[in-house]
Amino acid sequence: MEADGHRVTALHGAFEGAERDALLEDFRSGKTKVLITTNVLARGIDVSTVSMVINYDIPMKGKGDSEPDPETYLHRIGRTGRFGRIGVSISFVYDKKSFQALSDIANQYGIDLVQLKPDDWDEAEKRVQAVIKSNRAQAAFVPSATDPRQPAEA
Amino acid sequence: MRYADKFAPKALKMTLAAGEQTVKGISQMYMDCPGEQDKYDILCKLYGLMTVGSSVIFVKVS
Repeated sequence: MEADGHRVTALHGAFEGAERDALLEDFRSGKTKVLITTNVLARGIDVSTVSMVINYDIPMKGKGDSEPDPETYLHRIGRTGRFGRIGVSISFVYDKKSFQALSDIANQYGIDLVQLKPDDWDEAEKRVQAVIKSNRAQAAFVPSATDPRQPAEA
Repeated sequence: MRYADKFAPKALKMTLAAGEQTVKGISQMYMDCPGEQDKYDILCKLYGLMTVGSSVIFVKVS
């Protein structure tokens, strides 16, 4: 990704205190824009400018990652949309197990997940940008796959 | 929770109803990828297209 010109930080449990703080400070100040991390940062960090959270892997728990972990999911997506700001979360699913895990999580919290299709980039871009650009006044805006006021399917 | 009961059985507990835990203002989407190997390509493409401020990518521990 760095080859594509993104300033990326990777942060995981192997980093200790001071180093971790330094990396986090770079991210906080905007020196790095993309932070790749594991569950060590799922809760607690608070960077108000985060506008997108990607779940590259669906959070799992239990023996051999057999069960979905809704709580961690919630904490992860809670890294964006701080203090009434607008945020986007995109979860990557690729097989039956990950799809099932995500839909279990969505059901538990009653979330309407909006589907993005990797072969329809125009539509995907439009949707994400629409959310990012909408301002704080619309913080109560809940994107819905079933709301008739919005196009339900791409 | 069980620990809390043992530690302070008479303490007042405050929990959120399941339906109230979710957060408004966060647009939650999912990307249907054809396979695990495609995820990285899709991720790069996503970043190529979008101009986002800061973002966090969560991965599992390998």
